[in-house]
Amino acid sequence: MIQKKVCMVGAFATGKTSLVARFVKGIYTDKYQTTVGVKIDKKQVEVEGTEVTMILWDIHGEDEFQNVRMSYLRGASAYLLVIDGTRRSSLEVALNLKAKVSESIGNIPFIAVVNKCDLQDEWEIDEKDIARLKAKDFELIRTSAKTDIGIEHCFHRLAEKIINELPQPA
Amino acid sequence: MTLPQAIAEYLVTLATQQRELAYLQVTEEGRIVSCGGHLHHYGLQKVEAGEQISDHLSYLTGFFPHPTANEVIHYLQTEQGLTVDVHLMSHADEQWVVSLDSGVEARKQTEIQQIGNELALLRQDYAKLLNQYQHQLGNQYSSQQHTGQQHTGQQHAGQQHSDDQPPGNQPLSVISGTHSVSLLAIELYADAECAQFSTSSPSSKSSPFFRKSLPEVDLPTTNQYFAKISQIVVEESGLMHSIFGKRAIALFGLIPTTSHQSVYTSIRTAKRLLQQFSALADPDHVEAGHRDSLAIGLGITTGEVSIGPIETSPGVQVLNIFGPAVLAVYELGDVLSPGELLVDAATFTASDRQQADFKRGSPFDRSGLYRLTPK
Repeated sequence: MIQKKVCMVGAFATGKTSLVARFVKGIYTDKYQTTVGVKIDKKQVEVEGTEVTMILWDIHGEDEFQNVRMSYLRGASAYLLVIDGTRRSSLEVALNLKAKVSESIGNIPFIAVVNKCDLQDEWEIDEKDIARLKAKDFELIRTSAKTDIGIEHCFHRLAEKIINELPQPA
Repeated sequence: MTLPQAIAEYLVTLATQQRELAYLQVTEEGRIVSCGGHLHHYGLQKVEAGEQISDHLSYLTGFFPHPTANEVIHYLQTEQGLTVDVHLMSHADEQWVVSLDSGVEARKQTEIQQIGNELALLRQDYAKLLNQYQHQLGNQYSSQQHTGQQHTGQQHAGQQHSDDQPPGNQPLSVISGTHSVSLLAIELYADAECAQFSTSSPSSKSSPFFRKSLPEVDLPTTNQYFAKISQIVVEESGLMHSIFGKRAIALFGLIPTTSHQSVYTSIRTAKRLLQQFSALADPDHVEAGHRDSLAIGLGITTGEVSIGPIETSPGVQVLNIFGPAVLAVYELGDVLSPGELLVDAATFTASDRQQADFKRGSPFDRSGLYRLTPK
């Protein structure tokens, strides 16, 4: 069994905490509750016969009060870059954070998650934006913590990426 | 800096007792060398030298080897629900992990940040709403201009004039969805009778303020009142929709607030207005010679309304609001008495915890309405 640190990164109120709560505890609440600092959770997944314990760092969102400190990502094996589909501003924050993470800790595996797909009618992120991200080679997954769409898939894909990055036995 | 002994002791006591200080000394690879302090507070009773620190504190997975610079992870909430400031520090060749409980500070910080972020979200929603109005208005503009141009060539000379008018002179209106709002009717009443009317029969309703004296005498007084009322409405994130004669209508639920419930803010505002102006309805106040005192009556209705901007001239937009709650608030304004707050059934139902403050009906048998009961 291997234990790996995985971070949740994105603007505030994109649904990072809800994604973790849905993934780890299978619960969801509509009430927005801001995250101060970082919340730790743990979940075990199996990928190609290997048990991976994901130590989840649900890092506070980038907002008017606090910038995400890159030192929080030290030792991370992968991260989810969370975007709120209903707020275009969260896409710009995500792109900015992606650049900062790459600069600070290098190009570790990540997946861009466009959350709140249950509110597709209210989305400000359009197909052009999606195409723009894909052109940057972002792996994109649409999720909804509320209706439990894409959650298992995105964390499982992230675990696969972690496994693929592991040094191959000689 | 050398600290006086008393201060040093105070700080040590503060950290060890109030913030549950615990420490672990580790190697560069994160193996535990020694430990101490309030370890049990962090669930670290069974720590042994040589073990990996991440086996006990899983959140430190991947952290070692740690660079020599000191670092603090603020407000780290563990799986057990503790909130900790984790200090990673190096001293000479030694590396230390020091934990301090930061639950109290985190709670305070969360309260502030919650309000700030909710406001930021509401501002974004509000901006989005305005953009939608603007966009729809623009579309309708283009559509009308296009239609106008097509008609010009086909119409008689006598009709040419209207088509030649600039687009801004053609009233435009766009209905843009529905919104749940609360409307507050604010009615002013003349002085002397005010105090008696709130408890007497409806037939002896207060004489309208304007009937008693000349407009040039009344207007400054009325304006003074409405200036103060407007200030309170705006402070409570309401929108003063109209002031007409002795009645004003305020709207709650469109301007961003920290509370998502327009009902709460409208009732809070109404109570505040009643409190502010209650002294003026006091008989003693009137007997003391304050003949220019006005009393206030308030009514709230709640419901879905349609909102649409009307362009009255180029660049000038007026918001029109339409729906049953709008009609109801005007009707409610007509049955109010000085010193009372009446709410309709929809407002009462949504007022939740504040329902206990209201009583169904009134001495005047106004069915379907709830009256604020004095405490």
